[in-house]
Amino acid sequence: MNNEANQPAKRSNPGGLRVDRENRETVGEPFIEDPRMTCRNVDVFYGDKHAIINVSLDIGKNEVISMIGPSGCGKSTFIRCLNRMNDTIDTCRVRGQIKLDGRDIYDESIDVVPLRAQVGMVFQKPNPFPKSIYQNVAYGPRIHGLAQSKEELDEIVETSLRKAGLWDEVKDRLDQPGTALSGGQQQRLCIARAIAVSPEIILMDEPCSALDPIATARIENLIDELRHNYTIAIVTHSMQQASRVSQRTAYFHLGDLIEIGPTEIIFTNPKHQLTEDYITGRFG
Amino acid sequence: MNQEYPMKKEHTVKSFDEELQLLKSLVVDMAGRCEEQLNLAVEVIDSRDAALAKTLVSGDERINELQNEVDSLVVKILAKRQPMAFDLRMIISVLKIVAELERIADYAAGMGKLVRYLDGVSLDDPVTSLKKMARISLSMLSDLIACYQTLDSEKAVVLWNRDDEIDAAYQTFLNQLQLFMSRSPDLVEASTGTLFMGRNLERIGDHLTNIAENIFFIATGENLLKPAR
Repeated sequence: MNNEANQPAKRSNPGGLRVDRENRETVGEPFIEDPRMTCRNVDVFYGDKHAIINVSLDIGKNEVISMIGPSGCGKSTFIRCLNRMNDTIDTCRVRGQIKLDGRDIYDESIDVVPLRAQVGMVFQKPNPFPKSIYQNVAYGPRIHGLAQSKEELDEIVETSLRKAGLWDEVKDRLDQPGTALSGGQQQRLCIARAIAVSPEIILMDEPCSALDPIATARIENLIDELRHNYTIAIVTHSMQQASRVSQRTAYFHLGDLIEIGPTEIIFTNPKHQLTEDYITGRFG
Repeated sequence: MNQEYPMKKEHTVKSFDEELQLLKSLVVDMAGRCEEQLNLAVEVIDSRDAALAKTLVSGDERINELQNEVDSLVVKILAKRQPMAFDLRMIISVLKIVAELERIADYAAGMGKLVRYLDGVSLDDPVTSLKKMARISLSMLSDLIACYQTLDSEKAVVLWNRDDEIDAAYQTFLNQLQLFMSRSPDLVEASTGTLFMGRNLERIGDHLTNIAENIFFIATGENLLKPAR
């Protein structure tokens, strides 16, 4: 019997594969073919604090990418760079290059108002306007001039509420205040509001952390449906949620992008020791 | 340093570590009992002692119970902890390892039932090969228990390849038995009994190989696949 046949078809040395805690270079493949957004050498500072350190990452079309990591790791800061939400913080400085469909979103010529319509955001706490359900959804299309008539606006409102899985629950009470809805419904209303301005990308910053498991399941189901038309970047503290909803997962640690890869690999066989420690609950 | 497995830090949730420690001790206990059963099988083949054979058969019961305990604990851990990465691989693989151990114990107990066919019959060469197969199995199992505790992937590969030794001994055993059968056509019962014992040991070798594959998977997250020959 020859020795070669006795060797495993695929073998590896785990000691050689694992990347130790001290190494902070990104493990995995941050770049993809035909990306929607490209981030290169992104640094973010809050005053003297270096919150994001030289992060490069692509975000693909029609993908859900989740950002995970302990509190303060920079994951929210990073997605807030993607629609320039950090511009609202005086001490915040962003360095590097972020492009949407090839255009630098930090270029002086870029108007952030249409940018934030293109790259919408849903926050941790549902934050409907103190207006009717209808007005919550209609506000964006109206100010962006997306509807030429009342009929067109009605259609956008209905379509957006349908896409957000809320239409059947609210169609008979569109004139009631958005704030009167349940937490889960309010969050879906916020998603409808983001959808109404025809975004390309939806950023979600812990969208389910204030919701019960049933409302969470509905949002996760919605994310799965929205993926067919939008790109979604989600920050979550729930690893189960990241594993359920996303196709790629990025792990951040103290401002570094430690590991990025297919979600099923990150949660079954991560390569970086820091990722492994975090997702198995050995952190700290 | 966590005593649960090498190179692993403690979980933030201490009770998770305790559950994993319990799981590990159940697996080691079960494997140790399989080792005792194989040891007993060698003695039974040697002595043809009916009482010893009975002990071998009854020893299977506790091993089955241990498998049930591991199964229940795994279900509980999966439901409570929703493990990921290394923990997930380890817990899923343990479930498979104990199933392999249960089969090994069944085959060992089966030999206790078959040994009566050898009563009063001299089958020197085939029995020598049977004992050789049993001893290789025993040595593999002992090494696998150590390997499971250190999760040494290189060692798992070495052990995985040792099945070839059992297969080679099985081939020799078959040749010897065929020769015996052709010379003693009247000893049908003794020959078939011996044949089944050899078959049991050959199957035990395959289950040991599967355990090595599972240990390799826990350690590396990759499958150890034998190339097509």
